[in-house]
Amino acid sequence: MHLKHALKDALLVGVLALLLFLPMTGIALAENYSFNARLHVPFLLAGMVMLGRFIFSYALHTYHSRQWVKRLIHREDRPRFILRPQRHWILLILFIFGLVLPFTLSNYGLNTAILALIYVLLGLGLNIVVGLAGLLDLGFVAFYAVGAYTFALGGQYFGLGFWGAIPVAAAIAALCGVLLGFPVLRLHGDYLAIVTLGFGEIIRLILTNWIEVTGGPNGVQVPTLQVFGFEFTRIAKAGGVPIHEYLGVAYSTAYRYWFLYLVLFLVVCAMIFVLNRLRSLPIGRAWEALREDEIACRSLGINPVTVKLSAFSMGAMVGGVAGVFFAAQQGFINPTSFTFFESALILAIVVLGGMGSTLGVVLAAIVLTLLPEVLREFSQYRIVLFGGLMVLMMVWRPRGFISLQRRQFEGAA
Amino acid sequence: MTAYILAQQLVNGVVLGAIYGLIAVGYTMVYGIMGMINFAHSEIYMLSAYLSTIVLAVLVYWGIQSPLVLILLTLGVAMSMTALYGWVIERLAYRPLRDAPRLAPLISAIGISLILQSYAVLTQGAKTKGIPTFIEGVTRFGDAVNNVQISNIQVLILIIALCSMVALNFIIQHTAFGQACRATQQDRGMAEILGINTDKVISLVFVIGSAMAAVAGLLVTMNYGSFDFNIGFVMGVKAFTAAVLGGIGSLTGAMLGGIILGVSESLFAGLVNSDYKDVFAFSLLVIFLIFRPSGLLGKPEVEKV
Amino acid sequence: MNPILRVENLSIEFGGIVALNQVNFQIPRNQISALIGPNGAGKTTLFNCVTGFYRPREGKIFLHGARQTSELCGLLNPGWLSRDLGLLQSLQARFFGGSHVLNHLGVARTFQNIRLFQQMSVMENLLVAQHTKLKGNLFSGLFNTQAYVNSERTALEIARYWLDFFELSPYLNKLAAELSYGQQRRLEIARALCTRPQLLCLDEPAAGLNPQETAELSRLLQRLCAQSQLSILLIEHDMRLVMEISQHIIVLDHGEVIAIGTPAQIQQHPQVLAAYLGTEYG
Repeated sequence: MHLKHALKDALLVGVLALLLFLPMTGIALAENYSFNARLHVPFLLAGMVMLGRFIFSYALHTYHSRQWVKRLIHREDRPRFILRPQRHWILLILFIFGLVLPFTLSNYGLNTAILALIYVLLGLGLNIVVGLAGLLDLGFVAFYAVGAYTFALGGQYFGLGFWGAIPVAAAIAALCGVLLGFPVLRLHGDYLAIVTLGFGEIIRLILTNWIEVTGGPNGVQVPTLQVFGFEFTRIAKAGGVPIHEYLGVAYSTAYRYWFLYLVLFLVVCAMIFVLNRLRSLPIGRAWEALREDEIACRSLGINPVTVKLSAFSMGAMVGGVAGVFFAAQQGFINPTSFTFFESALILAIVVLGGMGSTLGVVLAAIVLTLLPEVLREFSQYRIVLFGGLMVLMMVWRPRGFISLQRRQFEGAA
Repeated sequence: MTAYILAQQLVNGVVLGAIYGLIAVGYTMVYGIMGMINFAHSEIYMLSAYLSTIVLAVLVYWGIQSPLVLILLTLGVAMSMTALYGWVIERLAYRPLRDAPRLAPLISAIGISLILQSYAVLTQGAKTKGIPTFIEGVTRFGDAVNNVQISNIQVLILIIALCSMVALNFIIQHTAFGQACRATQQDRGMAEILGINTDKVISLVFVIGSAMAAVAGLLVTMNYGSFDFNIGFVMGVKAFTAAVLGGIGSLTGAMLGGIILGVSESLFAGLVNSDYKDVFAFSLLVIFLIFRPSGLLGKPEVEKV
Repeated sequence: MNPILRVENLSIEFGGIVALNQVNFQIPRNQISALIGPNGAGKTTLFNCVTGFYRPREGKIFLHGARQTSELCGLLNPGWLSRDLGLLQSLQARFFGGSHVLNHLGVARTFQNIRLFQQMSVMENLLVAQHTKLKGNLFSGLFNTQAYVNSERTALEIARYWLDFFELSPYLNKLAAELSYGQQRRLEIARALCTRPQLLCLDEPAAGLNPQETAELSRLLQRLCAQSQLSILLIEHDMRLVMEISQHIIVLDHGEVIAIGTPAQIQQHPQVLAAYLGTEYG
């Protein structure tokens, strides 16, 4: 009886899957308006879906298994693991590990590690806006771009150096956050999302089309990294002293990456500390309260405009700083690095980390950057995986898996 | 001379606007009923361009020659395939999130658009695809130098867009489903109590919206002759702009907004600067959302406390 | 009478439907007043005007605070540059709405459908309410300056006081969503009180409570009014509760005030009986 039911169910789903997959996967469009048929693919895919559905619905025929599955797929609005933050020694070990790590990596590994840290930073920034304040910002990449271009163009036109670029980019990005944020704050939820998306695109289109200043699609050269008069090139390019000559060691391209990694690592650590502290400060609480209920916030005398603007500009600031590091690492930037896809990727990090959870965002950023490196042969399926995970997380664990315990208060004296 | 250029831009704008309107229908209906922006809708449109090209290629391979039969058959098959995608997506990514916090379905939709884009790349490659022009012919008004052209494809686009809008309007205004649909839009809870299967209504709305996107997908592909996996994004934002312009939730508004956006964008591109025409459209969206979020035909909302 | 709130000629309409029409009344100081009336009489609309969520078409609402008298509608509908608000605040009120300003003047409220910060702990809910009172900016907070520590300590003390008052102390680290319905109602009142208001507006505080919880609420509200310098305005459908605790009742029907008086007077009022029971009883 159950078998028959499950078979029927699986057959139905299989036919549906076949219909869905048939044209797209079964027929590959080729040059000159012709096509190649490869009909085995949709049948294979539909067969897999059918089998999966059959196992699923057959396994569900007992009461206990149904209950078990129900519990498993039940949406939980709270993270499963809640860490108590008392374990300072673990943090210390992680910190030292992070400091030592770059000296054990190849150049390639270093590059990946820097990229991972940049995404950690971006994730933390967007987490303020989306996770804490509950404002879905789909144009976050704009601030990233502003940061990167501030460094590149600032260096080109005004001789801005790396150290100068960090605060300047942070300030300009924050200003952009306020400028863009001010008009859109009247909007709620979905409208806010689409307007921020529009802003992100506007910035990218300006970067692409304003060729005289930004170099357009050809991009712009980032100034040579120079720190306290030292350079990381083999021969001095910008009038500084190459660091390997000063120290009397052999030249290695790794020095530049070590330097970038270490600075970035410290910035990320500082950011995590600040964010963690913010959550138990009035402004952090106000962000979360705003996410939970804006009308209640207003009834309590909280000015939603200033609170939202502060979240917007804080997030933008972090994005801007991440942009400086990106520019410094790449040495050359163009608008293709700042598409909507990048915004979606950063959003995926925040979502997978569990919105609002600093720890989760850090882990998710690292995992999502390293995963494609580890699973090289599957790298083309990376985006499908991200998208699927986003849907799955929303359906299943909208607040992520892991989070630090909320601040505990002592009872009445 | 400028008068001719102006008129030409006007013609192009109306055709473009008809297409925006067709896609905007999907946004406006879903927003009207569920109060959410279906971010994946633009990718459904993108997918429909692939689907219709594939169907067309297969039909030509089977030896069908007549353009009219080709178009009608392609339209029919592509619409039903795309509608199926719309239905499945609603089932998998939105229905489980009915009572979830507001952000959840939005993020889920973004996940779906990532999947669909990547699906197109994985199955069909990242290269630009094209279809042959099988409807030729241009009608010219004016002399050899100063003239306004309207191609037969543009005429066809207008006719098909108009027909589908009229049909859709009839469905919404005069059928039982349309009535259920409007009731669900007014008050989902109440509609449910009165025995309307709102889940089914929502599913059908996705199906209709997707089918309309498929119409747009075929028409755009026929007009421009080429497309790639990236066409959805910009088109989606513009179609949404059209929906907002006309007043979200309103079908006539969507079409009106589409035409207004299409015309003003064409004029901007022709008279001011074509590099920034997308910036112009996005700015229009931002300005409208800030100063008149209820659009041209919508009524302002009173905040519920 | 020494009123805390005076409403004059208040009118508001939505899409041609008149929700309030020339409403006039006063709320006495340090007493419990009730606003009653059949469903759709305009009670919640009036509440939303008083607490700044709706801008009335015409009319004035005066709040006679301990220190100053303010006209509330003007704050919500200021010109480009209102003298009371200053340029930035007026611009903001015009563009974004300025309902939060009313709380600064001493009006606090609860909501018919409870609006707690569900995913935050009970204590955090109460601390958010004191957001504007917590001294210090981002940096003093980040570096834990003495001024910040002191103001946070005060905020915690006030929060603990109200937690204790509403018998919620055992749950201070629980998420608001985990509380029972009755506890959530009490927490919402406690949260409103943490803003240190002069006028507390309660929108159906007993809705959804069982008789025992309602009795408890009644006791707490009476104690609250007796203990602190607080005036309470409540909307309520539970007539037993209304007659038991309020000293002053305003009856609203079809957007108009039909009776004002003490519970005893209201119970005898022919128009009120007509409004509640139908004309044949009038």
